[in-house]
Amino acid sequence: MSTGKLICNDLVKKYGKKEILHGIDLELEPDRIYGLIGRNGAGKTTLLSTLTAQSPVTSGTVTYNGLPVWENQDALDHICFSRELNPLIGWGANSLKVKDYLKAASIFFPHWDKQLAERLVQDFELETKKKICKLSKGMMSMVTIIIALASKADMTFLDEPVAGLDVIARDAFYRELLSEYTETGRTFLISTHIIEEAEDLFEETIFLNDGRILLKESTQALLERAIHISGKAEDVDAATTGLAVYHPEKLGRSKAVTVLLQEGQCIADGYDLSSQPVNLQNLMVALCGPDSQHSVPDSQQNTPDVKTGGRKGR
Amino acid sequence: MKGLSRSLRYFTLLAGEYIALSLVIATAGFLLYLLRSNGANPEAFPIMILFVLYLFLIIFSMGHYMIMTSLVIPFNCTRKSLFWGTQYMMLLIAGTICILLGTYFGLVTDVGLHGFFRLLPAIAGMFAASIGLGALLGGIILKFGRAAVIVMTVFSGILGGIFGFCCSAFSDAGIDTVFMTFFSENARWILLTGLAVLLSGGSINYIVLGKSAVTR
Repeated sequence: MSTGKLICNDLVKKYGKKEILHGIDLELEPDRIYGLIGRNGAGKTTLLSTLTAQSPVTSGTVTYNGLPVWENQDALDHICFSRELNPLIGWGANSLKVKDYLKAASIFFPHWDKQLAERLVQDFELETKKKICKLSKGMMSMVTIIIALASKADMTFLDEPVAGLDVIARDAFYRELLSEYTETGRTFLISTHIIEEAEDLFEETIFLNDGRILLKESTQALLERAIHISGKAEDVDAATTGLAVYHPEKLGRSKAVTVLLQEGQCIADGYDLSSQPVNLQNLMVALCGPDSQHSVPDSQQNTPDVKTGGRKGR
Repeated sequence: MKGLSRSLRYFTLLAGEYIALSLVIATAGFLLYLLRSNGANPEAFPIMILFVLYLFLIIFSMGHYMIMTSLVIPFNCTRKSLFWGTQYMMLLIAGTICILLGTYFGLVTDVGLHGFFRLLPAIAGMFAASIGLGALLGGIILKFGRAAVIVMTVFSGILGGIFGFCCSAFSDAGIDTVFMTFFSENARWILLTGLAVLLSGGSINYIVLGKSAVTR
């Protein structure tokens, strides 16, 4: 089981004058599976790149087990960020054959599991003599999955690992991931847009919105306190007074909202309302969608559980 | 050091492939040379081949940084290990070519090994300059991305043009002998210039590479 924590403090990343990540504070514990969720352009890949020293930070620090990760082989030996391969790029790493790509990985990752890599190649029926740029999107995802799993790194980051994979391959990937996690206690952080499928995997979920961490919480606890409420608009408003309300939708006299309850809070009784649990995907729409305007009572702002935008002065 | 040793291991493998490629280029050049000249002049041949290999090394060194940054850094190779691994690989390639050339001189030409050693500083200087120029251009590519590909294309065109022009303009005057004389008379200066180009190109590359991000 891995023991090190990956911690980043006040991480800022700029591309030119544009600030992509705005002072991120994040702590990744060993022996967990994290889900990283956010819209396109929220900064997920940039965050993963900077956490793994593939991209330099503009300011802030990233450490693994107390060691800075930037250009530090001792820290990097415990980390693997298997990047999404871009089918539109025919040069660089994409110009290599799959077998050469895997060979390179086997040399650089100190705990590389050759047998696991070979088995996954067979399971996924991957053609290793093909150049990466000639692979389909799904096959490229298989390559990134093989790298991530066979690297045996304590902290493994996957960016859109199931993009383009068919349902059978996705199922195989989830099973492999769980089996690897159970056997080794490695930490995985998975960035994905296929949230509904993956939510059962995530022990903790990190919501990233516009370069800020909106939420980082146990998935189960989060879903337990997220409720979708609908009914007459005045009843909904009255019942949710003082609660953190997201994503209001109005249809005639009816209204629906998503509520994130804090400890000790509950929906007021005595109103004719319909309430339903919210899954992770709908919660993301509520928190990060275009209509995600929310009202949060003053008493709850900037609590540890709900970071509402954070660092506005930046 | 463990990162560097992995880097050296990987680049040794790559060097083997590129040395094989250099040999194919040299053999093809030799056959073309035999076809073009009425009767081979075995003493002049190496100079022409060397020019082709210098050009190859410039382009190869330049492209190498473009490929490797997106390949080995995601595999947790540090930028320092990538840089020094690359220099080591270039040294292996240039060293092997020099050994093969020395063997060729010793076995085939009249000037023998003595003639080869007289030329060696100049040959090494030209290798150093090629690697340094490639590193400089590689650094420009890393810094400016796609825009640099235009520079690369233009640069390749200019170099190829100059080389082609020289060869055709002086072909009657025996350009190979002219080069050979120039190389042997100015060997020391060519070596020093080559080392200076390598140092400056390598330094610029090192600085750019040290801050480069993986993009793909």
